[in-house]
Amino acid sequence: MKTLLVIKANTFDWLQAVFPDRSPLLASVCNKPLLEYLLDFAILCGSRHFRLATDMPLAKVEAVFGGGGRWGIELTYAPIRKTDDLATALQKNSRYCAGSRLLVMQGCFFLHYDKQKNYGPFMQTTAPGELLTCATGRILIHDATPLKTAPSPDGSPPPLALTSLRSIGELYRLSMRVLGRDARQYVLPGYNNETDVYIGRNVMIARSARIEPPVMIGDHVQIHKNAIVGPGAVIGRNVIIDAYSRIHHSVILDKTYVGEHLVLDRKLAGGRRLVDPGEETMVQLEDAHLLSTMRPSSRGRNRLQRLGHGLLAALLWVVLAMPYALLSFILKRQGRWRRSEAAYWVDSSGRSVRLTRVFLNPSGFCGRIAASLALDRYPLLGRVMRGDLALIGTRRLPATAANRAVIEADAGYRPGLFSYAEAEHWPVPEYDQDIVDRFHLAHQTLIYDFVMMVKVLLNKLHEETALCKSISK
Amino acid sequence: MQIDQQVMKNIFVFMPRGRLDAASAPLLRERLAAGDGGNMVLDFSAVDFMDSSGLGALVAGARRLRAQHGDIKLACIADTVRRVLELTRADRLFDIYDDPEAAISSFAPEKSV
Amino acid sequence: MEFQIQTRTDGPIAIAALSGRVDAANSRQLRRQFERCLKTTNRFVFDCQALDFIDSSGLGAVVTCLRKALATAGDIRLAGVAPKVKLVFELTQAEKLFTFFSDADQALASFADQHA
Repeated sequence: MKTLLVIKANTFDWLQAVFPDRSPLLASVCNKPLLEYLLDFAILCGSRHFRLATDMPLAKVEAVFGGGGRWGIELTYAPIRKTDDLATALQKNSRYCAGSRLLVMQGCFFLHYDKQKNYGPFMQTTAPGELLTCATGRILIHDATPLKTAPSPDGSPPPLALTSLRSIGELYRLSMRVLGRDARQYVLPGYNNETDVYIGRNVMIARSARIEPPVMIGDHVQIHKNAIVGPGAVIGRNVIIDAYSRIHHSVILDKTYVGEHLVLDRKLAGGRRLVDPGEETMVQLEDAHLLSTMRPSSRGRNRLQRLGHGLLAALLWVVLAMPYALLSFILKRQGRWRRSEAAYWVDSSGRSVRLTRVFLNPSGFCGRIAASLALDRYPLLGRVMRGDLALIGTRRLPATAANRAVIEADAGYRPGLFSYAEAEHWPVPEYDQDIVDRFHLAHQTLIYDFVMMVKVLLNKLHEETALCKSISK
Repeated sequence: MQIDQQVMKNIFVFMPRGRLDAASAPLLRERLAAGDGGNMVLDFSAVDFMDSSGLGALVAGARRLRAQHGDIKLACIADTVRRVLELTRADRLFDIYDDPEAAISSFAPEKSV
Repeated sequence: MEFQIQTRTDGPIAIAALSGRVDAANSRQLRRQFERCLKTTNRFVFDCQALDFIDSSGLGAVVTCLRKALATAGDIRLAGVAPKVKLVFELTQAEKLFTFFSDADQALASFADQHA
C-alpha cells in the first residue's frame, strides 16, 4: 500500500497569519511535526511509500525529512499548484498511484491513532472511499484495481479519528491534550525515563529550576535559575527560559527567548509573538528582553560577505570617481541626468532606507559611456560600503506594504546595487528576473558574487555596444 | 545535448537528454519557439541538471507559447530539477506530472497543434 | 494622552485617556502629566479603550505611577484594556497590581463604592 498526502497552503492560512515566518508543513504538536504523525501512521498501516504533494515550499521539509531513510520508508515530493483539486493531484502523480492500494490524506488535520494497534489488516480490507472526514480534511482509500472479493474487515476497527485544525487555539488544545492524556499513543521525541517527562538532547536545566510533569522539552534548551517549567509545558527546540520565569499549560515554539520574571499561563509563544489561545488574541512584542526570536548564527558568514562586498564597492568608488565627476557634470548640463529619492526595503526585518535613483538617458557619446560604466548606480556605492545593500543581489523593492508581505513570505531578499539577472543576456520582465535572482541567491558565495559582478559589468559594456550597433543600423 | 521529439495525440512531446545549461539552452529555446502556439509536454526523464540558463529558456519559452494560447507541461522531473524550480518559485508556473501520458491526456481535447 | 479632573462629591478623580501606543517615546510624558495631577488628587482612572500597544517602558511608567498613587493611599484603576494589551500585563505579572474594569464609568463608580 502507498500513501499520498495532499496539502495546500490555504488550509494553513490561520497559522501563517500568526506565524508567517514558520513553515506550516513543520507545524508541530508536542514537538513532533504533524507530518511525522502521519508518516508514523502510514507505517503502522503497512505503507512503505509516502509522497507529499503540496503547493508550499518543500526545501525546509526536505531538509528535515529527507528521503525517509530514518523511518525505513521511501519519501518523495511532488509540487502541485494552488488551484489543483484532489483529482488533479492524483493525475499528476498517476505513476506513483498506479498498481497498488492508495491511502490518501488530504487537508490539514490531526490524526488520532494508537501506535500499539495494528492498522495493516484493517487498511487492506476496508472498502475503498472516504474513511474519515473533518472540517479541514479527510482520509480516503483508492484502489487501483477493484478487489476481486468483497472485503470483510475482521473484528472492530482499531481506534482512529480526525480533528480539524483551523486556529491556533485548536493547535494549542491539541498539544495540551496529547501531552496530558494521549502521549502514550504516539512516538514522541525525547528521553522519557520518567512518566510524562520528555527531555531532548543538549538540555541545560539550572539546579534551582523546577520541572513539573507533564512536560515536554525539545533539543538545545536552556532553563535558567529558579524557573518553573510545567505542569503542562511544551517547550520547542532552541529555546531559552530565563531566570525566575514560569511556564504553565503553555506552548513555547522553536527558537524563542523567554525573558526573566515572566509568567506564561495558558499561552502560546513563538518568537516575538504571544498568543492567548482561549481568546484567540495575539500581540507582537517589541522588547527583545521579554520575548524574542533566537536567530541562527550565520552572522559570521554574512559579515564576511558584507565586508567583501564593501571592499569591492570601495574599489569601484575610487576607480570610477573621476569618470563619475566628469560625466555626471556633463550629462546634467545636457539634461540627461535626473536624481530622485525613494524608500526601499533593506532586509526582511522591516527596515527601509531612502535611496537615490538616477535616471540616465543613455544617448549621445557621454550618455553611452556613463551607462556602460553603470554610473547611474554610483551614488549608491556608499550604501554598499555601509552594509545596507549588497553589491550584487536581488532586485531592490520599494518600501510598500505589498512588497513587505512578499519579502516576509519569501525570506530570500538581499537587495543589491545590481541584480543577478543583469548578468544574464536574455530579456527579463520583472517576474523572470525574480526567478533568476532567487536561483543565484541560493547558490551564492563571496567568490560567486565577484564573478557575477564581472559578468554584469561586461554585460553592460556589451549592451551598450550592441545598442550602438542597432541604433546605427 | 539532443532533444528527441515525438508527436502524440497532436501534442509535441520533447525529451531533452543530458544537461540544461548555458550550452544547451539555445537549442531548447529554439525548439520551444518552433511550437507556434501549440501544446507541448517536456519529458524530463533524461535530464539530470538544470541551471539558470536552462531555467531561463524554459520560462521564456513557456511565456511565449502561452501568449500564443498554447501551453507547456512538464513530466518526470528529477529531484535536482525539482529543487531548482522550487527555490526559484518557477514551479508555480507549470503543471508537473510524474507520467508523460498523464500530462498528454491532461490537455483538453480541443486545444492541439 | 489627556488627563482630565472630574470633581465628585467625595473628592476629585483624574481620568487619563491613553490612546495609540504608550512606549519609550511617550512614557516619560505620561509620568510627568501624572505627577502634575497628583497634586490635585491621588485617585486615577486610566481609560485604555483606545490603547493599541504598550511596551516594557510604557508598563514601567504605569507601574511607577501606581506606586506613587499607592504611597498616598490612592489608586490607579484601569478601564477598557484590550485583550492583546492585557496579554502584556499578564506576561510581566503587572496585572496582579491593578484592578481592571470594562469601561471608565465602572472604574469611576468603584471609587465611590469604596467610600460608602
